Order: sequence, then structure tokens, then C-alpha cells
Amino acid sequence: MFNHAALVLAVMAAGFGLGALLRAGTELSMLIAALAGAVAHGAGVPTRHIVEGTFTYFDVVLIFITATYFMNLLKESGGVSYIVRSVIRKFHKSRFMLLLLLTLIMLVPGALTGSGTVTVLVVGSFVATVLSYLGISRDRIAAIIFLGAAMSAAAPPINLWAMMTAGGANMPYVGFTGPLGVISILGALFSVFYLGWSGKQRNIDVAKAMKELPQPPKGMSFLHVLVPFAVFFGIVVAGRVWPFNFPVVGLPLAFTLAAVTVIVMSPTRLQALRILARTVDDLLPLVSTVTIVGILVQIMALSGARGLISLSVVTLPLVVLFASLWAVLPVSEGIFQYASAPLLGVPLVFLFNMKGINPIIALAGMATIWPLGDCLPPTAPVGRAAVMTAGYEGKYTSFLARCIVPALFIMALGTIYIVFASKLAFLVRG
Amino acid sequence: MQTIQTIIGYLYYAIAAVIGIVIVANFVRSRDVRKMLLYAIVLSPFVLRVLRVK
Amino acid sequence: MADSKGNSLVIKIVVVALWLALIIPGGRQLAAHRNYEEAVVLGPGVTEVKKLSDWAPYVANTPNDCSIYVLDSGVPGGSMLVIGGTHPEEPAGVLSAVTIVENVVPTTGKIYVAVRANRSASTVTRPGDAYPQFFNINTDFGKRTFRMGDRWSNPLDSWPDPEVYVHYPSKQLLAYMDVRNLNRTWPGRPDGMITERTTRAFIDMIKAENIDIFVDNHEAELEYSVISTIVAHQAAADVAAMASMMLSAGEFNMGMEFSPTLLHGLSHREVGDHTDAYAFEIEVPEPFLDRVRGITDEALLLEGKDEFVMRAGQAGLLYEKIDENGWNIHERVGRTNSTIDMIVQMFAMFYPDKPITYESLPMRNDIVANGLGHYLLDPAQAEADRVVYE
Repeated sequence: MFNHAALVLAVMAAGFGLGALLRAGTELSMLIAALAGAVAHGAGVPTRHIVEGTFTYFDVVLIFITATYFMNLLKESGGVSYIVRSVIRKFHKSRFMLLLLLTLIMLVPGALTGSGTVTVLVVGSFVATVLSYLGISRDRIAAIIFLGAAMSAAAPPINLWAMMTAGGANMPYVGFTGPLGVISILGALFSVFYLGWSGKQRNIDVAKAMKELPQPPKGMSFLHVLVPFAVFFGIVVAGRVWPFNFPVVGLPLAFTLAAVTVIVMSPTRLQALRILARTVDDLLPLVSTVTIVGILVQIMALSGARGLISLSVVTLPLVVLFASLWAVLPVSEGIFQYASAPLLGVPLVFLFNMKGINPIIALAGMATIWPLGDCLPPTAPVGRAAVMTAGYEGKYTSFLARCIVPALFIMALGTIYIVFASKLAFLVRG
Repeated sequence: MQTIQTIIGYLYYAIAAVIGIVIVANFVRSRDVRKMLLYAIVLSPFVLRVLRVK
Repeated sequence: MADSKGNSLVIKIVVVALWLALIIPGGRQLAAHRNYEEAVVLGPGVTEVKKLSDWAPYVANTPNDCSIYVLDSGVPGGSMLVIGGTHPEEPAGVLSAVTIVENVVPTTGKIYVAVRANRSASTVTRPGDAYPQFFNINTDFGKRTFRMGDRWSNPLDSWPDPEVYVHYPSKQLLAYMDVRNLNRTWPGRPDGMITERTTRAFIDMIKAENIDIFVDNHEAELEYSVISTIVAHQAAADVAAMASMMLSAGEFNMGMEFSPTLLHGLSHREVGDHTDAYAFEIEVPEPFLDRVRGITDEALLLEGKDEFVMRAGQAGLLYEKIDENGWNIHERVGRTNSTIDMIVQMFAMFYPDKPITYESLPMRNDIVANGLGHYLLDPAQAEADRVVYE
């Protein structure tokens, strides 16, 4: 079985390489890898497994599309430019306040949805605009948006990696708020201030900014932006405050209702269908990546390749594991996306339990390191989205280089959580 | 509450259907083979969900 | 890549043809699984087949209005409810329930059985996990085919999920998908999502029928600490401890654990807290569920042999031992049945005024010696009104 699974993995790697050689793009290369793996396993073209695999992250796909649609509508209606102008007018004299405010703004969407992509899509362009007026270079802006998004995804109450791992390990998703809150807020603040404090421009030239920034349409007011967000957050908060008297709405419908609110309230007539078509087109790389990763994971499970990877990880000596998780977790995230949580997280939690390591703290540490991998190829969904949103057109590797110092800081915090989990158990709160 | 929950369920099928139709429209407009293939893959779960197969 | 309109059209037709070649056979297999009618033959002890909605109208016309098999001795005594299929990806629990329905003849008291407690979860397999869709048990008359299922209810029956699942009534936060997990939604509520309604229906039934013993059949991955054990509510701890001791001393190792008081939504906690029944959960080993498992197929599901899981055991990572003989389905169903039997015996010792007695329950040694299939009836040979489809 070891040889079989290793052979399947090798054939998959060769399939991916072939795709890259043919310039098929990351997504189709992964599909080729999955198909090659299935053939190597002796399953031919397993149509049911391929079709079933496309459902692995279907919920995530729906959230991506509806959240981005909401944000694109808000942009088209002029709401984003209105908010940017207002914030700059109010806080242009204090770099500290601006950076702090931007950190908080970035933490909210991902904290509530568990998705860094949503953070980039909902507030990314807004944050990018303000940062650019602070004289911060595009590569730094992209890095700030990515790291803010990654920390927002890690932030409580919703951390999908911790939730998926806890779910797979039959462990309640309880007690994570404290540990996740501390580490993600520290990580976000360090990232934003490390990368944003030293820009050329200390203050914003308000007159110049107001002249350059697009004018919102006539009739646009604070309410036009506030109400759609209030609809979204109202639904999410109501579900938490009155869980037994409020229906289960779910994030895709909450975003859709917020989007409908934007359409209804917009001072100008929005071409809703055209914007939806463009949204779907913009998101094709992201959505197809996630969908194809689902197929890949299914074929890996079928053929034993997934088991071989999991086994290799959990049978490493604990010292080696501690010394390597900071690298293994982001890399696995870059390859498998959320699938890395059930793939590696669940056996690791079992391992931690067995070794007497506090699994909540250790998992919180891991669940903060994981999202850092969202900037790594082959998938890199949040990193790519951040780069696009920031309008950075240089080399992707230069953007990655910008992320290194804050990422190392966050990885160090996460590793401290894992290694000293039991000593940090006081952080555990409902 | 049950009625509202049922309506919400139907709305989800509607959302999936609308996105599915948009994916088809984008596929039809596309000139790039790679994009066509990716649209086809991405469309699969939308179609099977709306047909209540999976 | 294609510039001219004609070329583009040809390419589109090819892509559509490829897509149809993928989605039609794939979709048909998924639909065949979802719509498969799984036969259960009514054994000599079954006196009535009811529906869960007979006790709880709010689950009528839902996929989870499962059959409740009633085995009534007609002689006053205690009562027991055994549920299989809480997690349909744990087939020994389902098959144990089937062997009770098809073999047991009660002589005192009353037995209720649900083979597919979460029927919805049995109509879907987990995306990304490559489960086989069906499994076949060799019998004296040929093969009996059963549906493989998932841990969670089918999203087609419960859509959407909340962004975080708030357990009723404790307000404990759980992973969003656990709103579809039948062993996280107890005690449930009649106006909740389908899985919450299902558990509430069972609670209503347990109360209405004054059930004394409640048994929830499960299987566990070897990497998980709650394995080869009876998990019992504190009220049922004496019975469980005695059953564990007797089994471990005489037949096979079976531990006993207290249901954690702060962990909500589980059957052994909430059934014990919200009804008068003594609540037990039985966990037997299923290597198929281990994350480190190798090739995912029907053979692993039924034979439970896996080199990767064995290697994890050699590394000291497992809570149950495994060797090249694996954990086959006969052993797992047999242990479940023998554990149920021992719980009933010990309960009778503590509460002699509520006896439950019966004949013909296939025990572990019988099933291992003769094969599980020996205790399954032939639906083709049974009279039409003695076959129920789940």
C-alpha cells in the first residue's frame, strides 16, 4: 500500500508538472494531476468521484461569489469612494489612528465569515486606497491587505480551520475565542504597523486626495453604505443573539440580501446582472481552484495518497513536528486550501490529546498559521486577490518577500502556542 | 418558523440557479478554451444541486 | 486560443460534450445512491412497524420520518430503544440494528429499533472523502446491499448551514455542519432544522413509551480516544460499569466512560438529562474512519485492514490495537450486539422489576463463527408485507 500511494503521488506530481509545461494554468494542472492520479490508482476516469469532489467546497464557493457580488455592487454604486473620502477627511492628520482603524476594519469581515478572501473583497480596495494616500508602496499595500485578511480569517468567532478540525476530531468548537483573539489581533497589528508605519507620506494631503478620488454620485450618503452592512451584520448578529427564534439564514443569503439592499438603495440604477456576470468572471480563478482542489482531495483519499501524507506528518517525532509545523501548515494550505485542516489538523489533534498537549491552544496556534499559506502557490487565493485589489503589478515573489517578517512573527506566535499549549491554557474562554 | 426556513431553502436553490445561469452565459461568451473548461467544472455542483441530485 | 467564431463554436461543443460525459454518469450514480431502497426484512419478533412521526407529527413527510420496528413480547417488563445509523458512515451500528429486527424474538418487555435514525445522512456520501456508495454483505442466499452514508444529514434536506451552530438549549457553540449531526443535536426542537427535529422526535418517543434503556450504536476511528467503550450518562453508570467489567473479563475488552457533563448535544448526555431512560452509547473500532487510512474502498469498510493505520499503531498513535487481521464487520457487529445484551442483563440485575428478555440475538461469537450474512434474511423469500424499505 505504501508503494501504491507513493506511486499515485508521484504520478500526480508528474501530471501537475505536465500541466505546467503545457501552460495549462494552476487550476487545469491540478485537474490533470487528479485525473492522472485516478488512472494510476486503477480507477480509470471515476466520474462519480470527480463530480462528488466538486462539492467539497461548494459552500465556500457560494460565500465567495455572493460576498464579492455585494462588494462589487457597493463599489459601482459609489459607496466605497464615499466612505474612503469620509475617513480621509476625518482622520487624515493621524497616521496611527488611520492604521489602527484600517486594522479593525480588516479584521471584521473575515472574523465573521472565516474567510480571508471575503476581507479582501469587501474592504480590500478601500484599505488599499487609504494606504496609497499614506505614501505606502503597492507591494507593501498588497502585503498589508493579505496579512490583515489572513489574521481576520484566523480571528474568532469563526475560524474555519479550527472548526473543520474540531468537527473532524469530535471536539466542540468552544473555548477558542480567547486564544484566537489574542494571536490574531497581535498578528494583525504587528503586520499593519510594521509594513505601514514607515511610508514616505506622514499625513494625507486632503485637498489632493479629494481632487483625485472619484466623486460619489449625487444623493449618496452614509446611510447608503451603512444600511446594506447593517442588513448583513444584523442577520449574522441576530442569528447569534436569538439563535432559537431566528431562522438559519446562512452567509450566502445574508450577503445576497445585503446586495439586494444596495441595488434597491443605490442613487443610480445598477446593472445588477452585468455586475454579477463580471463578478463570476473575476472569481473564476479562485472558484475553479477551490472546486478542483475538492476533486484532487477526493482522488487522493480514494487512492491512499491522502493517508500517506497524513501518516508521514503524524509519525514525525514531536520535536521535528514542533520545528516544522510553522512551514508545513502554510505549505499544505497553499496546496490543499481548507482541506489541509481535516488532512493534517485532525490527526495532529489526536496526537496532541495523546501527548497531553492542550488541543485548544495548540489548534488555535495552528489555525493562525494556516491562513498564512493562502498567499502560497499553487492556489494562493487570498494572496492573488490581495495583489489584484492593491493594484500591485510587480513580481509575485516581491510581494511574498514583503510578507516575510510579519509572517515569521505570526508563525513564531503560533509555534509558541503549540509548544507551550498547556502553559497557555488560561487563555481558554467560552 | 418552519415556513420561513422552507422559503430560505428555496431561496438557496434560486441563488444557485441564477449563478448557474450566469456561469453558462459567461461560458457562451468565452473565447478562451481554458476558461471554458474551468467554467464547465465550476458549473457541475450548481447544476446537480439545483436538480437535487447532490 | 480560438480566434474565429467557427473554431470557438466547435471547441464549445467539444467542451460541452466532455462535460456531459462527466456529469451524466457521475450524476446518475449519485442519484442511484440517493434513491436506493434498502430492504429490511421483518423477523419473527417484529409485531409492528411504526413511523417516527407517529410520536412526532413535525417529522412527517420529511426524509427523516424513519421506520421504528416494534418487537413486543406482550409480557409486561422493561423497554429498550436501539438506534443504528446515527452516523451512517458507521455501518456496524446499522447492521447491528438490522440483526435485531431480523432475528430477535422478545419474551418479556418491549424493544424498539431504528435502523436508520438519520435516514437523510444515509442518502449522501461525504465530498472529498471518496466513500464507496454501497457495501455488500455475503449471505447464505447471495449478497445484501446496503447504502453507505455520511456523518451529517444530506444538504439537500438541510440547506443552508448557520455560520456557527448554536446548540439548543445550552447555547454551546459547535462547528456549523454539526447542525446536521444527529449526535450533536440532542435534545432537539420541533421547529429547528431537520436533524434537530429528528432528535426531538426521538425524545418525544422515548418519553411517550417510557423507554428504560436507550442505546445509540456507533463506530470510531482508532485515532480517537472514545473507542471500544460504553459511554454512559451518570444515571446509567453502574449498569455500564458492570457490563464493561463482565464483557472485559469474559469475552473482549469493552471500556466504560462517563458522558461529559459539559459537552452538549450528544445522545448519552441529553437523553439522560431530558428523559427517564438510561442512556448508553456503544463505540466499536472502524479503521475506515481513520484519517491516516490508505485506499478508501468497500474492502476497507468491511474488512477493516489497513497498513497505514497499522503503522500509526506501531508509532503509538492509536487508542485501540490493530494487526494484519484488521477489524472486520463481523467482529464489530458482534461486539455491538454482545454489548447491548450485557447492558440488558446488567440492567435486569439492578432493576429486576423491569426485565427485558429475548431469544435469538446473534452474539459476537455466533457472528464471528458463522458470518454476519448468516443472520440476515432474504428479502426475495419474505412475504411482501414483511419487507420494509428504508
